[in-house]
Amino acid sequence: MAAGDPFRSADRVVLDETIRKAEQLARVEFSVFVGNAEGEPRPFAERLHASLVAPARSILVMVDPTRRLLEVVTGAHVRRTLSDTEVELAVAAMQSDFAAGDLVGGLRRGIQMLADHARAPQTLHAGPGLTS
Amino acid sequence: MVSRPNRADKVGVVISALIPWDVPVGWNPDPEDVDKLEAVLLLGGVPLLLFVGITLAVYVPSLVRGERIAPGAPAVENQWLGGPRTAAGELPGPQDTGAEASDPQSGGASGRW
Repeated sequence: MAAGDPFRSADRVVLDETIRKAEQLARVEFSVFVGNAEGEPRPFAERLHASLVAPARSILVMVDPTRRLLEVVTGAHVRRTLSDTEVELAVAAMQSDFAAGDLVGGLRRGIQMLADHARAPQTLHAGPGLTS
Repeated sequence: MVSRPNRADKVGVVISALIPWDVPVGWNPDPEDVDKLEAVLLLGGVPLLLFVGITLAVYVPSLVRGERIAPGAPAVENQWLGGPRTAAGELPGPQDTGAEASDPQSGGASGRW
């Protein structure tokens, strides 16, 4: 682990795998920014989110380990299935892991929770067998 | 001719009466002169060694762990997982009102730990 890099190579592989599975599950884009938030964290995170390829279909997780800040920004399309209350639950889970010094574990748990909640609910009414 | 004791002599007599000036028991009543080099090494070298030792005790563990010790440098390098489109340094400013400023319909949550 190089100076200034909070992740080992193995951590990065694990997080990439977690993000990939979350994207497959929830059908939305996950982006994680770990670094130094400039100025007010929320506007900074929103600008990061807006810079993504498809902001409406993206979830941004911003972590500033130095200032101990955590921001999650969800796009308009994502909010159809992922409410802000559910995001708060994931944020609370990540906070507890981060406070215990487990940055990678917190990110994994938070991303998995966000993906679980963002997954579109399966409805029985759209099944082909119900149409006459 | 007997000279009268001056004021300093009187004070010296009083202090001698209050504080014993005798050499403590076990001490050499006629000590050898201290070598100047030895005195400098003792009075300057020991604090210097302590300073170096404390400095090493503070910084060496951080250096071994690969942590930064330079003041002012960012603790964590900015990095993305999952892929950004632009770097953080290219973000629009707060006053920008373009498409990338922020999405008014975005949601989410904040936290600190």
